[in-house]
Amino acid sequence: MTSSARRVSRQASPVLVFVLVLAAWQLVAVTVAPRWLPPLDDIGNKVVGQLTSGDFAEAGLATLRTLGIGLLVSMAVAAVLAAALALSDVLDEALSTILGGLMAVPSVALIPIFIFIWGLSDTTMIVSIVSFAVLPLTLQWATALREVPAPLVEMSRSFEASAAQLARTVYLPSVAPLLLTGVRVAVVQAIKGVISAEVIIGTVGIGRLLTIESSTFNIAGVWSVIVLIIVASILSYALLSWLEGRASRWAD
Amino acid sequence: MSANLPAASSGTVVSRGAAAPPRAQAPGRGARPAARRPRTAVRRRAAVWTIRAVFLLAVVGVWQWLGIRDGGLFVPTFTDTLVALVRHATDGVLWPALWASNQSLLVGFPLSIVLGLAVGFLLGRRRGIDRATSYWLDIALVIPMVALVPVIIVAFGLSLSARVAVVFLFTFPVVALNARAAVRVPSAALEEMARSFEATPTQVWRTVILPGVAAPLFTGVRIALSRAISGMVVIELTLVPAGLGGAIIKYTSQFSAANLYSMTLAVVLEGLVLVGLATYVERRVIRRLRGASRDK
Repeated sequence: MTSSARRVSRQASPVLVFVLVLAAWQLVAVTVAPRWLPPLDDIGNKVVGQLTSGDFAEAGLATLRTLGIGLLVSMAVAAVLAAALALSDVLDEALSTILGGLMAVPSVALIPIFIFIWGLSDTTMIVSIVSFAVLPLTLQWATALREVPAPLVEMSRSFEASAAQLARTVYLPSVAPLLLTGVRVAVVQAIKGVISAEVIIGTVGIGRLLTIESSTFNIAGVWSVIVLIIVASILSYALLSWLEGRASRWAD
Repeated sequence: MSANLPAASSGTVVSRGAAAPPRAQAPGRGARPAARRPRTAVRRRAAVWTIRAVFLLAVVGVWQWLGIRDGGLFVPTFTDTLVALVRHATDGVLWPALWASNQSLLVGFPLSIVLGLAVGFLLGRRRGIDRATSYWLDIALVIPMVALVPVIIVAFGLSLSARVAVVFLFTFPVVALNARAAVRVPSAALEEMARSFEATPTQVWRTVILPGVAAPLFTGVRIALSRAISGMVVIELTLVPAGLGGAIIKYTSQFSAANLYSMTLAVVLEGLVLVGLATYVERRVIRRLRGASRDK
C-alpha cells in the first residue's frame, strides 16, 4: 500500500511540478504582468490561431524542408568521413583530434558568412545546418563503426557466412544503436542550426514568423511560436530516442 | 530519458574532445610484432603528423584558391583575411570589440557555473527532487535557445543584462546536468572501502570523491564554455549589435568581405583558444588528482 502510494507520487511528481510552474507563471502574468510574460490563455489562443490559420504550417513546412535536406547532406558527408576514420587507424588518430577540436568552433558565427555568400537562399540554410550537425555526427558515427567486434566477424567468416548474412547478423546489430544515437544528436544540432539561421536572417520560415510577431510587439505571439518550436523539438527527440531504444533491444 | 541525455547529446564532445587519447592499439587491428614496435611507432607518428599537416594545408589552400578564383568579392583569400585581422588588431578595432563581446561571457559564464553546480549537486544527491524537476534541464538542453532571444530582449532591453541572460541560458543546463551526473559517479563501494581502512574524511574526499567528480565536471565546463561563446555571439548577431557580432553585421552591410571574414575568424579563434585552454587545464588537474589517489 505505502510502496504503491510512493510509486504513484514518484510518477506524479514531475506532472505536479509542471502544473505548479504553469500556475506560478499564470499568477505572475496576471498580478505583476511583466511585459515579457503574457498570461497562458493568451498564448494558448495564439497557438490555436497560428495552428488553424495555417501560418505555422506554412512556415514550419518551409523550415522542415530545409531541415530535411540539410540533415541528408550532413549524413552523406558524415558517412564518408566516418567510414574513412573507421577504416584507417592512422587517419583516425590524425584527424579525430582535429575534428574534436573543431567542435569548439561556434558555428553560429559562421552564419553571416553563409548569408554573405549565398544570400537568403535555401543553400544558406542547408550549409548552416550542415555546419551545426556534421561534426558531432561524424565523430559519433566513427565511434559506432569502430564498435564492430572483430572476433565475431572473423568467426562468421570462418563459418562461411555470406556478405549479406554478415551485414545482417554482425554489422547491423552492433552498429545500429550507436548510428541512431548519432542521428539523434545530429537532429538536435540541425534544429538549433536551422532556427539560428532563420532567426539571424529573419525572413524565412519559423524565423520569419518569430520576427513578425516580435516586431509588432505581440509577445503572446512570440511565446506561441516558441512553444511550437519547443514541442516540435521534443517530439522529434522523443521519437528518435524511442527508435534508438527499439534498435538496441533488437540488437541484443 | 533523463539519465542518458547529457552523456548522449554532448557525449561526443566528452569522449572525443581534444583530449582524445592516441588509439594506437585498436582491438583486432594492432597485431604488430612486439619487437618491431618502436620503429613502427615512430613511422606511425610521422604518418599521423603528416596527415594533420596535409589536412590543414589543404583547408588553407582551398580557401586561398577559392579567394583567388572569386576575386575577393564574396570569398577573400586566406592571406587577405589574415592581413585584415592583423590590421584590426593594431588599429584598435579588434580589441575593443573583443572586450565588449566578452563582458557578457565574463558575467554570464561564472554565474551559470556557480548556479549550475549548486543545482546539479542538489539534483545529484536528492533523488526525489531530481525525479520531479530534472526533465526541465533535459528539455532546455534539446531546444534551440535562440528562439528565446526576442523574449529576453523584451525582458531586459538592448542591454548587457540581456546578453548575460542569453549566455546563461546557453550554458546553465549543460553545467547543471554534468554536475548532476558527476556527483552520482563516485562509487559507493570505493567510498566505503576507504572508510573501512580508516581514511579520514579529507582523505576520502581527496582520493575517492574528487578524482571521480573532477573529470565529468571539467568536461561539463568545457562544453559549457563553447556553448557560452555561441550564446555570446548569437545575440550580437540578432538583436543587440555589440562587440564582435556587431562588427560582423556592420562589415556585412558594408559588403567588406575581408573585414567580415577576419572578424568571424576572431570569434572562431577565441572559441578554439578558450576551449583549448580549458582542455589543457582539465587534463592537468585530472592527471594530478589521479596521481594523488595513487600516492596515498
